[in-house]
Amino acid sequence: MSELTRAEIQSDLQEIFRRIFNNEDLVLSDSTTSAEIPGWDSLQQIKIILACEKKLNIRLRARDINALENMGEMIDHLIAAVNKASRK
Amino acid sequence: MLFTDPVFIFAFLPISLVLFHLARRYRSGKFAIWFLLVASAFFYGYWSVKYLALLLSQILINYLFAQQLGRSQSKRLLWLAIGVNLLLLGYFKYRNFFLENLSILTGWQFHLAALFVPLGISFHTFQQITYLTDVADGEEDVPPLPQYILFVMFFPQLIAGPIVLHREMGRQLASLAENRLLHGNSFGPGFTVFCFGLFKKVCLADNLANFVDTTFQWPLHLQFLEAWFAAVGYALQLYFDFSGYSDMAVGLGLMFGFLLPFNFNTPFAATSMTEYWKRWHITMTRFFTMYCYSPMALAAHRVVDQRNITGVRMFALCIAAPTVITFLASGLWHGAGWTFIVFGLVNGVGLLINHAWREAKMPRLPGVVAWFLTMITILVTLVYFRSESLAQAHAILKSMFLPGQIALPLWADGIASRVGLPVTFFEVFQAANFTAHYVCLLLLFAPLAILLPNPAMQPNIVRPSVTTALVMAPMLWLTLGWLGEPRTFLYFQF
Amino acid sequence: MSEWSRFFLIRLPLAVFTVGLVVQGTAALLAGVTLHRHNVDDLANAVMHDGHRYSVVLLGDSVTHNVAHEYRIGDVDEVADLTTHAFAGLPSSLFLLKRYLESGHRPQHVVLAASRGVYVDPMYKPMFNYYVGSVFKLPFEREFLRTHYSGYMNYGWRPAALSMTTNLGEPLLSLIRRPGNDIWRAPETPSLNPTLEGFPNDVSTYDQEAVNNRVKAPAVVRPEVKAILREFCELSHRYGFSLHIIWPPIEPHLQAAWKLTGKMQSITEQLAEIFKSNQTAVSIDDVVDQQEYPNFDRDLIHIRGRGWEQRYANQLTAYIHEFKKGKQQMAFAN
Repeated sequence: MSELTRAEIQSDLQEIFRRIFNNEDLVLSDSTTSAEIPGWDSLQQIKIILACEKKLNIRLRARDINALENMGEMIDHLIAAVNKASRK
Repeated sequence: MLFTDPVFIFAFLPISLVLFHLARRYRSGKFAIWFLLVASAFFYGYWSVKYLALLLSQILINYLFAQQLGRSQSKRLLWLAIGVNLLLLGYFKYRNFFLENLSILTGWQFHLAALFVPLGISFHTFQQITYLTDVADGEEDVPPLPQYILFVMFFPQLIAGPIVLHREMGRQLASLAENRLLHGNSFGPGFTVFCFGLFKKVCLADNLANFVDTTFQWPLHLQFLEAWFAAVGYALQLYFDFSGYSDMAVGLGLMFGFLLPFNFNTPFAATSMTEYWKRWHITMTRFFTMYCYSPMALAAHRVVDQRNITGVRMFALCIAAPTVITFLASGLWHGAGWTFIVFGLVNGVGLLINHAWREAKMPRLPGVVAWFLTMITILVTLVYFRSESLAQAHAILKSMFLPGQIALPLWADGIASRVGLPVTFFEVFQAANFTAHYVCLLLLFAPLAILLPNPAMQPNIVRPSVTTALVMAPMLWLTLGWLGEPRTFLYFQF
Repeated sequence: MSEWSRFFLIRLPLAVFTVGLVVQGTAALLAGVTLHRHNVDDLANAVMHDGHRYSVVLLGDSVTHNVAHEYRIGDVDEVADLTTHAFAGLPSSLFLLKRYLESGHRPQHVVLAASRGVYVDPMYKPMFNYYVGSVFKLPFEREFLRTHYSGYMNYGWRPAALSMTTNLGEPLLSLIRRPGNDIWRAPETPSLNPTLEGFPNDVSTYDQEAVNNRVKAPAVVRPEVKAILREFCELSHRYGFSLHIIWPPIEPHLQAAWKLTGKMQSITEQLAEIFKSNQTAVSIDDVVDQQEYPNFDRDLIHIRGRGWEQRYANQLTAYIHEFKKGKQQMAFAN
């Protein structure tokens, strides 16, 4: 699997968020936090993780995602997970 | 020693602050770490030297586990380590509850020795479990032993949280070892936040306690109005008590140059159960979300996804089961009793209804209605939390929701006849004076609970202005005036 | 100097000092306000201003107060109801009587109808300042409390800002409530033959902890109470009134338990000895000698039922009238 660019992962993540939160106008930036997204809770977070796993063909650990502060950190984490998966 | 003891405020705190900063200036960061360790040990040992020894032993055992986990990252070893910690917690906190219920089930008789729960055991056990898991995940390194001990024993967060993740403290401690404080210029905001927390505890929570405790002395004999006053009064008391304590913890941390996580974000402004638990005891919610709910929910979602399960079965597996199990566990964490378990259960059911409403894409309720329903649910849970038995809780809830009659006290017969209500004997509201005081307190404190910000959330926005001084001055006078009467923190018994 | 240094060295101390000064000044302005937070405040003021010539003063705790507050004791304008409750205790009874006498009133009889607990139990500290210390501040009262109730409150000077609710809040609220300058007069005349409620006497509904505490309570008259009773005797000599002790109704099970241990008799004997040593003839009567009261509240202290309350009111009236006839022991006619 080729290494995805940061922009591609950000775009994928945004698409996932828009679908899960049913909000086509949602725009994510590196500094966006969970507090800024109405309806975000631990259940939606699980759906996001599952969607990321399917889209990016990776396996994530829930508590790693729980501990992230903002979208920037989440994107970094996804990139690391994708890279780790592609090295296997 | 408690944060509200005059001995702590006027002796321990100033002395340890001065000596800590002197240690940093004239010796080294490592020496300062040792000093903080000794001070924290003194703080804990002031209550019981025996349990200080227990705490240190638990910390050392966990450190040895962490070293092994750092080398092997073995899941089996992690489960063993978690098991040992939970067993310790179970022995000290839950053994009598376990034996009592076993006795009911089996008819066997057990000798129940008096239970003495080591201070803060629920908090520092969970804190260490998070650390061991992080080490097993490869997320955290094993620091030098003094730093690890201080991570657990740092006295601002030792007795009643916040439950700190190692990633939040590890860098700060490592920096201190190099004699750099990452939040070294925060004494001013720290002091302000500490005073604010102290005010909430001493002036707000403890004043309410006088009335609330009286009401809960008569759980089987409360009239409709008394029951509602008990529930609302207790909710406010618990909030000011615990959020005040948490503010003090953050403030103290900052005074020593450490940033600790905050625990409250005006929870009584929440308009849903989900939102409430994102605002109340945030670090505990974080723990149960990270280490209990999320792993279960993610595993369930994966199974459901693979097997294409939908509808009610999907809801039951992915949402209901993880939510209820997590809240039962968190209820039990609060106390060894059926009232705490039911407290957790009612919270879990409340959250389920919240989730079901959203999953079914039902229309959003108006804010006031949503807030009202949320608060009613919270009040019900807190009646269980405060009551000494399920029977008492049910008696109070019956008075609240199925009162039979709504009456006024005998002394209010003038008002009663005008509004067309009967009068009857009130156990607690026997005197107009007492009732008037209670009413005034609730009317004054309820808006404060919703409107007062939590400075611990953003301590560095506190400015050293004239306004801050004028707000703090009356708070300091009021706090000093009421400081003489010691009361324990409600979360003290955890 | 950094901003925070300036804050801690200048702004905050100045703000604290300013607020303290403002509160002190406001408290001084409000110091002249007559407090009307509760009935003890009301009485402390009324006894000095009420112009009625009552021939009898009735003192006592809430067992008697709950009845006297509703039902008139004695004839119209005969009995001044200066009853309070246990949180105000015997100090309030003494000080109210003394104020009443020093305001020119000359009752012929003073009846003290307080439960035995008031003589043998310590007072409740958290409420002491509210019902006693902040009410009674005349020189004799202050000195007496400082001498005999030294552990109950702080008698030294404290900045007003340390007690803002007491120094500001309570006077301000007292301005709203205006009960007048007369001693409270009960609104109802007790019926001579009230219907006596037939509540079942179910001890299992009582608060068991209260039962045990009451039974185990010591029966030694406290030293500060002895000092109060000495003052009563002194007042009796100075102002020429007769002093009478009446034991209010007591719950039958508690009475039985106390009789078994000799407490009932012991307390009466201790009081008799105190009065004898102060050379004061005092009658001591017990209402339950004439009438058993079967129905009490869960705390075993207050009688329950309007019929029973009226019966007690009638008993007090009968006793008072017998005292006036010069009889120390009397029979209660049904």
